[in-house]
Amino acid sequence: MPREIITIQAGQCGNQIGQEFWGQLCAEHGISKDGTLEDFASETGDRKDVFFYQADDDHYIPRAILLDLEPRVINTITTSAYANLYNPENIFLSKDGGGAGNNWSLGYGAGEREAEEILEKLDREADGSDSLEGFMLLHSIAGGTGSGLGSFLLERLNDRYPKKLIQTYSVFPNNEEMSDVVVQPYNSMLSLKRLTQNADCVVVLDNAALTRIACDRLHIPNPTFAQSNQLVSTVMSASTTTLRYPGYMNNDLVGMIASLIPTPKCHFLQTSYTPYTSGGIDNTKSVRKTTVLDVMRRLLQPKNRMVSTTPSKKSCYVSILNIIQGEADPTDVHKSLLRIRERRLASFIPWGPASIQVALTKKSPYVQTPHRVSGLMLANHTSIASLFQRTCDQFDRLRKRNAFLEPYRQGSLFQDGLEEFDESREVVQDLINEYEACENSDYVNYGQ
Amino acid sequence: MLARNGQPSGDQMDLDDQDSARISTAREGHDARIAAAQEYCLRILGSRIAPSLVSDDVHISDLIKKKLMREDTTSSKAIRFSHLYTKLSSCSVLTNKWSVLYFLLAISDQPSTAAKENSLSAQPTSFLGLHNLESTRVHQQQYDTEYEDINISTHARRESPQARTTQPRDSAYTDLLNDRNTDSEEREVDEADLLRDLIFVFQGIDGKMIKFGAESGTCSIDPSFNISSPTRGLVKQLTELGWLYRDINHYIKTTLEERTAGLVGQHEIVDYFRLIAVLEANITKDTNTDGSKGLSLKRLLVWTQDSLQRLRLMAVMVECCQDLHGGALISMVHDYTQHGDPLIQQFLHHMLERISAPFYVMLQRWIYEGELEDPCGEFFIAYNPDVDEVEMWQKKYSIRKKMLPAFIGVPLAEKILSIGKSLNFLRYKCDDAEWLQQSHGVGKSLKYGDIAELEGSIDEAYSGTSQRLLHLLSTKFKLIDHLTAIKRYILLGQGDFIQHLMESLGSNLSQPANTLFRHNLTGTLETAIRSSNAQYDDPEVLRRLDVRLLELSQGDSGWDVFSLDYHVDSPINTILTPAAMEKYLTMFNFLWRLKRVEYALLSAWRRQTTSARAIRPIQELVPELHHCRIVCSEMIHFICQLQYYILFEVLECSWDELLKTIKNDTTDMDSLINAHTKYLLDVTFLVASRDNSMMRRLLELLATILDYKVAQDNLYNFALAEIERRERLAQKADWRTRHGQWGLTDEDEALDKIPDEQFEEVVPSLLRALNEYSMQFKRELSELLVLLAEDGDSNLRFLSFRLDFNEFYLGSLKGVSMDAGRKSTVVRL
Repeated sequence: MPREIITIQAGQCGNQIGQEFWGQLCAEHGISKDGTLEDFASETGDRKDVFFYQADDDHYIPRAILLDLEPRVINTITTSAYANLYNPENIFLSKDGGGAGNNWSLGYGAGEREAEEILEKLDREADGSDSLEGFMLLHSIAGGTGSGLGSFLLERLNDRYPKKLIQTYSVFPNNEEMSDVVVQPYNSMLSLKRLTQNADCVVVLDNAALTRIACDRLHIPNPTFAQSNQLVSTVMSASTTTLRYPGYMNNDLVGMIASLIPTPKCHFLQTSYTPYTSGGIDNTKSVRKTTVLDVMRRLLQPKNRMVSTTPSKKSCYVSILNIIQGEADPTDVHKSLLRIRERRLASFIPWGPASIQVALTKKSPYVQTPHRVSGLMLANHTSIASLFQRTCDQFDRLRKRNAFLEPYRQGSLFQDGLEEFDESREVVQDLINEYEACENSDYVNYGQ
Repeated sequence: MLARNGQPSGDQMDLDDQDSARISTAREGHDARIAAAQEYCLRILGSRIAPSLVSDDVHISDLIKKKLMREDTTSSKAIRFSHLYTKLSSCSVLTNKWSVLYFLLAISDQPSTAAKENSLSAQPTSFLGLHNLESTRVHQQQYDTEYEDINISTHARRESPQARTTQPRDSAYTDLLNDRNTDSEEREVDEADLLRDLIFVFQGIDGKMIKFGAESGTCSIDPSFNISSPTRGLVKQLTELGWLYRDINHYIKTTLEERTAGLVGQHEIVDYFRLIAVLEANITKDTNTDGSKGLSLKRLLVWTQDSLQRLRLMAVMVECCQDLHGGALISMVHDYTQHGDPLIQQFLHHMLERISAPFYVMLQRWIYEGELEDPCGEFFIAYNPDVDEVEMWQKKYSIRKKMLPAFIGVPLAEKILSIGKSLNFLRYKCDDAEWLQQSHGVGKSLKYGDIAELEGSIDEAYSGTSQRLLHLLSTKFKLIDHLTAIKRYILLGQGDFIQHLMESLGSNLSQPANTLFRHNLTGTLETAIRSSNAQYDDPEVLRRLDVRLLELSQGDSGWDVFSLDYHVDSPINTILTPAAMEKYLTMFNFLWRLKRVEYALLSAWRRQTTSARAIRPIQELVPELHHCRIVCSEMIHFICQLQYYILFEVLECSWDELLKTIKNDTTDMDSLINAHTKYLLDVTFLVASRDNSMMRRLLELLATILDYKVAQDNLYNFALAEIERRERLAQKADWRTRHGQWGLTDEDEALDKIPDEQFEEVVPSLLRALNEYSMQFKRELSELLVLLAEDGDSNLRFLSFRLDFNEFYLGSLKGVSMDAGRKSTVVRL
C-alpha cells in the first residue's frame, strides 16, 4: 500500500519541469528511458510505486498527467528518448492547439471546457492506485495554461477528492525585472488565490532566484530554462526522497508537511539546496567541504534559497525540515543543531515550539555525485509574504489603470464583472496579514 | 606427623608418636629422662632391629598424669585422671587399654604440632618451597663437612623442628647398633656384596644385609655382618637414595590408586622410572666393571651424588605437591624454577617439561580441536554439563583459577578459553566440523619452555578461530542481517511496513485485548510485508518475523499487548539472547505507541487541513479551530522531536557505533557480544525501567495527546454536521424560492449561525474538553521539561534541547515575557 502521488504537469513550464523531474527519478531508481528496469538496478529499499506503476509488461510508467493547450513542449517530450515512458492516454493536448496566450482566463476556460476529459484521466489514474495520498501539481503561475488550467484543476480536485492532499510546485515569475508578459501580475494574483484556498502545500520556486542561483552558484552567465528547470527537478527529487526511500520517519506526504505547516493558510514553503553540483549541470565548481553542519549552515543562507524575498527584522521560521542525502553521520546531526542554535543562525516563531527537523535519507546508488552529502531545506518562513506583497504591488499598479483587462472578460468568471480580481487580491492580502501575524507571539489568538 | 608420614607400617607410626611424646616430656624432671632412657634401652635390647613399643598401661597413664600436672598446677585434673584410669583398668571388656591411652596422649600433643604447621603453611607457597630447598642445601653442606657424623635419616623432607630433634637420638641409636655389631661380629663383609645389596636398596627392596628401617629415613645393616664403621657410614649415606626412591614411589603409587593425579601423575612415574633406570644402569655397570676398575663404595658414593641430589629435589617436590595435581602441580613446580642454582633450575626445567607434557597435550587438544579431555579436572578450563544450550557460550566453560599454571597469565588464559569455546561453538552450533578438520593438522605441538613461543602459537590459533567464527557468523548466519532486521522491524526502521501495519491494525487494536486473535494478526502481518518494501527482504529474515501477544491483564487494549516478534535460533541466539529480545520488544512497544500517537496526530492534521475549506463558513468557530491547530501543531512538534531524538541520538548513533565495532574492533565472540550488549543498553535506555518517572511522564503525555485528538475529532464532527445542516437548509430555501415562497421562514434557524441551543450547550462542552486536554498537555510537557532539565544524563538533555529548540518553553517556564525573550535572539536572515 504505497502512498501514491499523482503528478499533474500543466503548461509549458510545468511540463518542462516535469520532464526533468521524471528524468531524475528514472535515473535515481535505475529505470531506463523507456521505463524498463536497468540491469544494474536491483531492489535496494527504494519505493518506485509511489511515483510509478508497473504496466503488464513490467514497464514502469509515471503516475503523471501531462496537460497543455499548445503542442510544442509535449511534442518535444513525445519525440524525446523518454517518449515511451509516459502513458499516452495521460497526455492531454487541446484540440485547437492555440494555447492560452498567457491569459489566465483562457487557461481556466479551457479547463472548464475540457474538464470531462481531463478529469477522466485523473479518475483513471486515481483508481489505479491503492491508497492515493494526493496530487502534485507542477506549473508556473505567470503564464496562461499553468496558472489558469492549474487553478481550475485545484478547485476541481478539492471537490472531487476532498480528503486528498494537494501539493504544488509553483514557479513564480521573476518580478524583479519587467517581463515580456505584461499581464503576469494578473495571472499570478488569480492563481495565488487558488493556491491559498485550494492547495495544502505550495512549494514556491521563484524564477528570479533560480536565475540568480544559476549565475552565482553555478557560474552560468545566462542560464537557459533547461538549466534552471534542472535546479527545480533537483529540488523536487530531493524533497521526495523520504517518500521514495522509506525510513523511520517522513514516509508519507502528510507526515512530511504536517510538521511544516501548523496552520492551514500558511502553507507556502521555500526551498534551499546545496551543493548545486548534481545532475548534468556543467561548469560547476566543486564546493569545498560537505559535512552535515556545513550543509545545514549553507541551507540557512539566503543566497541558496530558491525564492527571492526581502525579510524584515521580524521575519522568522515557522518550521524547517532538512533532508540530508548521502553518507551523513547521524552523530553530526546533533552537533550541527547545537552549533546552529549557539550561533543563532535561525530565528523561530515566538508563539510555539519550532525546530530544525532533520531527515537523513539514502542517496540513489545509481547516480554519482561528486560530493558526499547534499541537503535540501524545506522551510516555512514568514518572509514569503514579501514575495506576495511584491506581486500585489505590481497587480495594484495594473489594476489601478484597469490595464490589459479586456482579454480576461471573455472568460466565464469575468463575464459578470471583474470582482474575481478584487476577491483574489483580498485573499492574498489575508494571506500576507496572516504571515505577518505569525511573527508575533499573539498569533495564538489570531482571528478573534 | 601422623598423616604426613603415611607409611603403612603400624609400628612406624607408633614409634613416631612415641618420639613426640618423648620429646615433649624431655624438659621434665631427671627421673623421667632416666625412665625414658631405660625404657629405650630395654626396647632396643628386646626388639633388636624393629623395636616396638611395649604396651605398658601404667607408663602411659603416668605420662598422661605428668602432662596434666604440668599443664595444670592445681593437679585436680591429674587426680581426676587417676580416678578415671582406675575405673578403666577395672573394666574387663576393653582389651586394648594401652592403645586407647596412648591415642589420647598422642592427640593431646597434636594441637601444638598443628599450630606449627599452620604457621608454616601460612607462608606463600613459593617461599615455602624455596625455604625447603634451602634447608636441603644446608644438609648437603653438613654432609660434606661432617662426613662421619652425617646421619642417613636427615631426610630432605624432614625439616620441621620436631623432626630435626630426632637426629641426635637416631645417631645415638645407630652408634649403639654399631658398637654392638663391632662387639659381636668380627667378619668383614665383601665390598662387592655390599654393592650388590645397595642396588636392591636403591630400588627400595631390602637387601641381604641392608634392610630398610621401620622408621622413615633409616636403614639398618644386619648387625650379624661384620662391617667396619666407616663403611657403615658410607653405606648409610648411599641408602638415602633408596629411601628417597621409596618415598617418591610411594607417592606415585598412592596418587595412582586415588586416581587423582591423572595424566600428570602417570608421566611423573615414567619420569621417575627413567631416573631410576639410569641409576640402575650406573650401578650395574659399576658391578660389572667391578674387577677392572675396582669400584668401591666411595666411588659409588661419588657417582651417585648427582642422582642423590636429583632424588632429593624430587622428594622436596613430592612433599610440596602431595595434595596438588594438574595445573596447580605445574604451577607449584614452576615456582621452584625461580631458584638461583642453575643446576636445580635446569633439573626442574627438565622435570617440568615432562610433568607438563600431559598438560600441553590437553592444551593442544583444546586450542586446536576444542576437545576438553580432562577426566580428573586438572586442566584450568572447567566444563559445566548442566548449562543450557542457549547459554553455551556464556556459561558452559570457565576458567579454574586454581589450576591455572603460573606461567600462563590471566589474559592469555582467557584467550585460550576463547579459542576452545569458539571451536566448540563452531562445531556444535555452527556445524562447521569441516573447517575444524582442515585446521586440525595445522596445530603445532606445544611443550614447556619458551612462553613467548607459546603465546605466539596461542595468538595464532586465537586469531584463526576468531576470524573463522566471526566470518561464519556474518556470512553463513547473517548476524548483521538479523541485527538489521531487528532494527528495521522491531525498532520500526522500515517505515512503509510499519505504516501499513499501523493502518490495517489500528482499528483492531483499539478493541479489548482479549478479542484479538493471533492468526488474524499474523494475516495482517503477511499483508503488510507483501505490500511494503519488506517483501524484498531476505525470506530467511521474513520467516522469523512474527506477531506476539504479550501477557494481558484486565482492561488492556490491543495496543497494550500487541507486539512484533523476531525469532532467533542457534547460533545467533548466543548474541541475541532471549533476554536481549525481551528488551527489544519492550522498545518496540514504546516506539509502537509513539507511532500510534504520531498517526493519530497526522490524521487529525489531515482532517484540519482537508476540512478547513468546508467548515470555513462557520464563523463562530474560527478562533477555536485556529487555537485547535496551534495546539495540534505543538503536539506534532513534540511527537516528531521525540522521535527524531530517538532516531538520531539513540537508534542511529548506537547503530553506527555497533557497526563500527563489528567491522573494526571485533576480534572475537566476546567483544562482539559486548558490543551488542552495549548497543542494546543504549537503544533501550529510555525504556530500561518502565516505572521511572521519565517514562511514566512520556506515556502520560501520549495518552493526553490521544484524548485531545478524540476531543478534536468531536469538534470537527460537530462542525461538519453543522455545515451539512446549513447546506440542507440552503437547499430547502432554494427550493422554496423557486416555488415562489420566502426562502427562509421564521421557523428555520439561521443559515450563517450555529443554532442557539447548540451554541450554548454542545459547543462549550466540546471546547471545554479540548481546553482541558490542551492544558493538561502543556502542564505535563512543562513538567517533563523541568524533569529533563534537572536530569544529569546528557543524553536526556539532548531531548530537552530538541523539544525546546527555539527556547519557547524556556521563556514560558521562566515566566519571562516571550517577547522580551525573543528580542535578543532575533537575528536577521
